[in-house]
Amino acid sequence: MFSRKLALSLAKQYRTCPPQDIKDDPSHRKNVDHHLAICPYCATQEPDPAGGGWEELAEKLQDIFSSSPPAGEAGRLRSEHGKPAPGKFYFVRPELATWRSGYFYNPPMVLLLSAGGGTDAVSDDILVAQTYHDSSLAGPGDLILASEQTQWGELFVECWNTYTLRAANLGAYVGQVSPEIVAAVKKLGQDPGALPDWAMSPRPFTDHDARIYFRELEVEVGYTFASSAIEELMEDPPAGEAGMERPRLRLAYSSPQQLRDSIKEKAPGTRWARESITMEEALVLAQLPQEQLALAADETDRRTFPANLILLQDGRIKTFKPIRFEIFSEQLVSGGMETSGRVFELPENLSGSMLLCLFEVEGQRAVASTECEWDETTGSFFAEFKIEGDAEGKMALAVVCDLSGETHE
Amino acid sequence: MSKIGKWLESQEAHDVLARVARSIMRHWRSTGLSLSLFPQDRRRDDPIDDLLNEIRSELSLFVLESRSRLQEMLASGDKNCHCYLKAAFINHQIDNVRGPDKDRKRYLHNRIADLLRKSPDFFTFVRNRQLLAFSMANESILIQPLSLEDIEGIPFPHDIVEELEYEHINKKDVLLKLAAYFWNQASNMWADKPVQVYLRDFVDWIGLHVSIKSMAKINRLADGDNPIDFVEDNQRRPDRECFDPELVKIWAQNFANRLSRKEKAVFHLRCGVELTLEDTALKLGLKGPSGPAYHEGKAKEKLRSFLRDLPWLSLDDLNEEAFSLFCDTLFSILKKSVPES
Repeated sequence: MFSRKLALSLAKQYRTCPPQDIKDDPSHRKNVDHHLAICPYCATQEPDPAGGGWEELAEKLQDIFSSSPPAGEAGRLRSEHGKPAPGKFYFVRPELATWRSGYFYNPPMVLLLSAGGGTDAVSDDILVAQTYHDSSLAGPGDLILASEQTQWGELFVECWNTYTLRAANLGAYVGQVSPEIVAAVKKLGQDPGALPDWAMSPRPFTDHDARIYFRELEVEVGYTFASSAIEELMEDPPAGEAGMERPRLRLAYSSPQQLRDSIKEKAPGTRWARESITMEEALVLAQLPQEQLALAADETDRRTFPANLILLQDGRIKTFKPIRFEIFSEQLVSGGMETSGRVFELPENLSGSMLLCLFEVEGQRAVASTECEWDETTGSFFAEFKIEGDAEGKMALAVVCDLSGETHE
Repeated sequence: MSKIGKWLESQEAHDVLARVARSIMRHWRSTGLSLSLFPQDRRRDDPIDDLLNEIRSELSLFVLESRSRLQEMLASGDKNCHCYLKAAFINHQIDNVRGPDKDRKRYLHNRIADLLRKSPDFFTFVRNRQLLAFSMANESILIQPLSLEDIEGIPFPHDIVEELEYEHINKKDVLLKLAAYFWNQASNMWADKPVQVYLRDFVDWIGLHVSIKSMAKINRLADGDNPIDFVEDNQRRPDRECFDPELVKIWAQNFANRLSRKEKAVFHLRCGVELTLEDTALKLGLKGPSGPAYHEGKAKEKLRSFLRDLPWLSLDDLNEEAFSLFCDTLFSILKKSVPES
């Protein structure tokens, strides 16, 4: 018998608490302090070298086991696994572990679903599904696999939590499943009810189910590592701590130019005021042709402004259309400006979207918001920009939603 | 002897396992999270050294018994694999200590298995090579084993058994009626689909409701079977009855630190001072009520997520006194974030 509540507590620690070597590293001091201030598990642990002995025990066992590799089929396959291919399990490279908002995101194990993609795919792109080892947290839409099926141990594949990585971001190979299982994962990704006959059926969600909170955590983990992969692809990645806190995109385009080409394909006539722009600017500052803007014009007395709605499928643009927003307030505060308002004409049942906010200062490059809060159910937003008090300019917005995430809940 | 076996006998292993055992003890004492992993009568009375030795031996046994599974996982290069190790050991403990006497539990398990196989109303299945599952429908779906929360959520049917004593439970017709009831309840959890429920879960559920004290008195059953006295009284959960106020205060501070400046102010005024949205907006110099409503919603969402797995403070484990202390501490911290008017 197991407790889902306890499993959730352990999952939060496994995914977002820093390992002891990071806690002990002075170069991580600032982030560790932030983490200790917000983490109920780390904040209440007594100072204890080597994580209360668990890390030491794990290291010792690793040493002993590594001197006698796994026996049988799994051991043989592990040493001969060859190139990444659909059906293989890998950990994301440990060096990609990263801090975000006071949490240390540890790299997950993923199942490779497909390599490459459409014609505009980068050759190194791979599509993966995230996995987790404690099946007590599996829910509808997850596929629980037995040890014999994974060559590793029991785990479940989060068929709804798929994203693009670069093959170079894959770390240790851990096992492999059959093509039938890969097909079942893809099918479940499309239809959470399409569970194969041989698979265990997880219990449907209940009110306040611990697994709902686990899924929120898993989305954050996937988002972090998919974003990291994409960030490598961006020609102008956000730098510095403020950049790390900003929302990042899951896009499967290798350059802003490739992204712009894709937008123009979906919305012919779209233009940009400048040539040299980032991925984020390509989405937010795209100016749709006048005839399309007219269709989205507001017929009330409200003073509204055009914005862009971008619907993605697996990181690729599916729809690019105009929407509108109004501004409730713009206030100058110390070191910048705070703005709040509301976006209109959002699709019904929008789920998992993000809002990108830029402030275009006249004659200068656009400034990204340092803080952006977004409620997609009402369209309300709040954004802060670090700009000079007397800067003239205007705000530009884009709402981005990956439809492949709509089946997540 | 295997390499791992040799190491477990070394002084180094003794020291490492002792440190882990102390860490488990500290966690157990400080959070109550692990309290239910140990038999209640052992928690407070035994000398600490005896308990530490017991945990250390159990760890050693766990490593030996699970070495092939652990080898696969630890060899995979996961930097945070000690968390996996910890989770695996805790689950192992839950399985092992739920009933203090595994033989008694096994006896009841075998008796019910026999009854189910012979009954025309039930279908039995062997899952994962050894676990017995049962259903009342020939066509039924495989399900996950039930969680502690699932099992605790199934009330005991007092119309089937009047007294929660072993002598009233351990009768053929009662056990079959209880099995049918349990199966129906489990099927309800899966949206009324006929399921294959594990016999082990059914026995654990009985164990939650039957007092071991009354069982211990039984010498011979009315229907001629041997006595079984296997289950501790789990209805009383000391980790739910007492709480650590210092921990609750630290958690309140942790939660306050998670809120943005605006969320702190709005949450305090709305939920601590209980101002209306309009008055909150006025107090904070905001134009209308939508701003405070937005920040209040975000803060509440963060609170739900923060409390969901904490002892004494989550909805399914709420200790009112602990929650009251959490709120008082939180609001006294948040008060400082509201601008003086």
